[in-house]
Amino acid sequence: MKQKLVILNNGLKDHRGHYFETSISIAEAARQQGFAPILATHSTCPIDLLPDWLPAYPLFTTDHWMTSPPAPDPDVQGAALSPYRDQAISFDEARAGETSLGAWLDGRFDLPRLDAAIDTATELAAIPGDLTYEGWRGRVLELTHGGLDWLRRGIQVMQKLGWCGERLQFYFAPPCVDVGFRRLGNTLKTPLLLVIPRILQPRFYPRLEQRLAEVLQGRGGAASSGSDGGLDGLSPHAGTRRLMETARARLTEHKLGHEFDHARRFLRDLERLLAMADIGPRDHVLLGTAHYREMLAIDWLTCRLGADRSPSFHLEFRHPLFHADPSEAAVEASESLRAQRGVFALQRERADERRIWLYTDTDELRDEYELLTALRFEVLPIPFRAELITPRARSTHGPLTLVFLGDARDEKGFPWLPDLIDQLMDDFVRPGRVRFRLQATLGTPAYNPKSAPALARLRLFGTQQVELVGLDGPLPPEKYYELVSSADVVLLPYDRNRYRAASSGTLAEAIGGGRPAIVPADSWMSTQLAPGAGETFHDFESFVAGTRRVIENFAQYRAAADAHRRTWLQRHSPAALVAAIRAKQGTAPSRNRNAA
Amino acid sequence: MRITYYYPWGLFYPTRSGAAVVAARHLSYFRARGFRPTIVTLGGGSPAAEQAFREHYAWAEDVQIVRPERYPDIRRNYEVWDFGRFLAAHAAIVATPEYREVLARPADLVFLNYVFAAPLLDAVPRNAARVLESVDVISRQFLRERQAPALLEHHLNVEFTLYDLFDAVLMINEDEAAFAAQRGATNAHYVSRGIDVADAYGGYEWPTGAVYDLLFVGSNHGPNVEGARWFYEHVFAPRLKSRGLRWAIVGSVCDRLDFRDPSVSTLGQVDDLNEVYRQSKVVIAPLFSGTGTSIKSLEAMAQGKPLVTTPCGVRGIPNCDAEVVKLDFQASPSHTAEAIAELCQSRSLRESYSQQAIGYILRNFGPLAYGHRMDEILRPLLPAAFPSSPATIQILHAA
Repeated sequence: MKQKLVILNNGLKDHRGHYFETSISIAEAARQQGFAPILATHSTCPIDLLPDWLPAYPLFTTDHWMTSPPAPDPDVQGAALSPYRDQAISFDEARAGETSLGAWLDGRFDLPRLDAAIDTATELAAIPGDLTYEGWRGRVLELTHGGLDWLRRGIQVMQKLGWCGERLQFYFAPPCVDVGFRRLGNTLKTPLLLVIPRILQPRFYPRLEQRLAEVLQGRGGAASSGSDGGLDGLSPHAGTRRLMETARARLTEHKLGHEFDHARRFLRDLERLLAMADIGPRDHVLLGTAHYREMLAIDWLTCRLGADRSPSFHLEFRHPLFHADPSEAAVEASESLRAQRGVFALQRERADERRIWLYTDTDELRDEYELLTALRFEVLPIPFRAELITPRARSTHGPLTLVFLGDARDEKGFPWLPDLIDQLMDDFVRPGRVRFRLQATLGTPAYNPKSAPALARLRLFGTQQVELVGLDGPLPPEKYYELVSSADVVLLPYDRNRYRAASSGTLAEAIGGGRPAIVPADSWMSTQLAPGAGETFHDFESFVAGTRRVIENFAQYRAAADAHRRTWLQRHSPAALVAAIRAKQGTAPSRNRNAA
Repeated sequence: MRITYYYPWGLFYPTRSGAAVVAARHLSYFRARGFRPTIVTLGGGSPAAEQAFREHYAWAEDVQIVRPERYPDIRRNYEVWDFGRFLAAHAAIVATPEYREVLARPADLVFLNYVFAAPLLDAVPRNAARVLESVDVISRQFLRERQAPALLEHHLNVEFTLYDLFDAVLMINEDEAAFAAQRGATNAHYVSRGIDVADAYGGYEWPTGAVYDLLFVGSNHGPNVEGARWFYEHVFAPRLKSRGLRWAIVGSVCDRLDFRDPSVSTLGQVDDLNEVYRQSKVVIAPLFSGTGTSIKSLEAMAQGKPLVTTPCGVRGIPNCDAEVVKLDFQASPSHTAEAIAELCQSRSLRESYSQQAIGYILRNFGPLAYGHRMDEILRPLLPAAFPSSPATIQILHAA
């Protein structure tokens, strides 16, 4: 059996962003290096997006953004869903005849025991699907199933309404109301939200919990015999239960109880994945966009599985923690960061018991996370399929093509583009020296209020001068790479604060394709550009000036970018990432950053 | 050569399903090579049907019928359309001493149909060569409408893992063989489904003229119903009916069609399908979804009928552009109607398609082609059982 590499990307729902691209590129590299790659995605991800050769498990009901309610639970009835069952029977044993195939299958399907005496009629009626119910028991079951179905739908509708209502207030309430309530809330926050609950919590909740426990025990013991991540109750497994309770206490203390729920749901989905895909101790799981809440879930899972049964987990943290340069003062000022520090401390306490490696994808992010957590983080290469970017031998005639890639988002500087074009119109655009190809996929206008008007302005330009791509939705890979390949210059007018430490897949592709780029100064992006291979900016004026310089001296910039391309690709590739994971085989994670 | 042959759907003579046709083809092949298998099947029929089956396969070594009704462990799993339960049903067969004894008989070749029969391998002799006729990537068909795609992946994972227990896995569709190979099943081989062309020469139109212009044959399977309805609404009613064309529909698909039209004859189940073929000018197969190989298209071609169908209707029938009128019905209903009308009007055009279709079937799906391919796969597994001289094989085949 080949070792499996699970590429877990619970935010992958479509072609949007770089999730699809990085997942496929890693899967291809894993396959080339002898792994059996497996992709795990959000439950709403259509599997026809994915190549046939790649096994896909759309199982996860949450994404890492947490901006929408969890998706309905996927119906995976029939499969064995607990990784804690005894799956010591390997296929090799069954093949060699050392054990029966029935026993091997029993670990993979939720089947009635063959030697148990089961009332066939009842059992059949309990399974929804292509069945005919018979007798009064059948009718009761039918009605119960119907009622539960409606109840489930009702709950989903209410969840959606509640979630929409919360967001609609930002649209309809006049700004003064929002400002007024914020100020009122800030004034009352201390007594209302901090003091009173802290007085009540220790008195009220323990009593409530104790009472509940008494009631449940009075009805026959533990309410749930399911998995740790079951949403009905905490784990019967003592070690995991203690960890979960500690985490819950720390998160609720910082008003982040909903993150605990997220972690439990993620754990439930992860358990299902490991059971269904038959992931064992030889295998690896790469979570490409990790947060502390998913780390918590993985911690609980590995605690219960134990080191001898747990796969190796590789968690890559890609979202920045600080808006400015990282400091202890910033940690102290942020409730969220303090909460995260507390959670990471739990991880640090059991350094030798887990097979969990922590990573970022930039040196700057590594420094941030190490400052916050005092854990060791390594830096992984950035994966993308450079071979899909065709080299562009530019002729001396015709306009230069300036390209903007990725979603149209405020933080990516999309709103600057109409003004940039206006500024360049007389000197470059109208004379035919420059044309623009802009990806204009406006996925979440609610979170990008400036991008929608900017898109309306861009539509007013002539299509010969400004071509908008991806208006109908995220670009499929072939169209995306066609757009990248068509670029002479890549524009990245990103928000420096947001992208100070974070990586950019778009810049990776620009550098990997040997294209000059214009990026924010004092950011990870600016450190990646070779001297002369692009320009940096501090504000809109310097962005325009930088763009002008690149246009006017394109040949020199292009030569520098070409020269830098090979060096970059030696370090950043899907193969390098998979090799980095493989290199952890047989080693133990080093937790303390001082131990590195 | 000693062969244990297992088929999971009961009596497969007379052949009333695609799977039964496949099984009948296997046994014809064995008989042509002089092999006498022990046939084991799950589920019987009426005493008369069993008698007819036993008489038809009297040349076989033995016929054993597993009776699920006698064993609750087998029955309660086999009654639920679920991949795991079908596997469990077969694990239960192995646990039954009566059938374990049959399966454990000495054999040189164990030949199973459908991967959910794999647990039977627990009982068969370990030194026997093992061949699986997958018929289709069957685990995909167990997924019910509301179930998650992740469950499908789970099924596929189990199915392709189980393939590893066999020396060879036969796939009836090139795409599915490629799919299995992509998923690591290096022992998967494409074997075209053998079609009996003996009747094909009788399949030309009646000399006195056809009764029907169009013919559609289908079961009550969803894609057939959907296709027939679509064709009526978008092609036949608005574009062909007014030209006086008559359409016959045969099979259980008629039970689920809600349109009533004097130009459309819903014949339902018929006693002699060959006769209806002879009464028809053109066969249509308006299919937009499906897996495996389109048996109805192969049968129409073997009957020497001009076939007008969609790309989905020729799945598993490669490189047949010259033999079949293949059109994207949904993209251009009017173009589809014109092509059908032209075929109905031109007898010479129909004869041309008829001859090409029969030639294609003989080349690619006839007994010789099928036997040759099976020999290629089985010979390395059973060198002692196969004569090395091709001439000897020809003689055996003729016998």
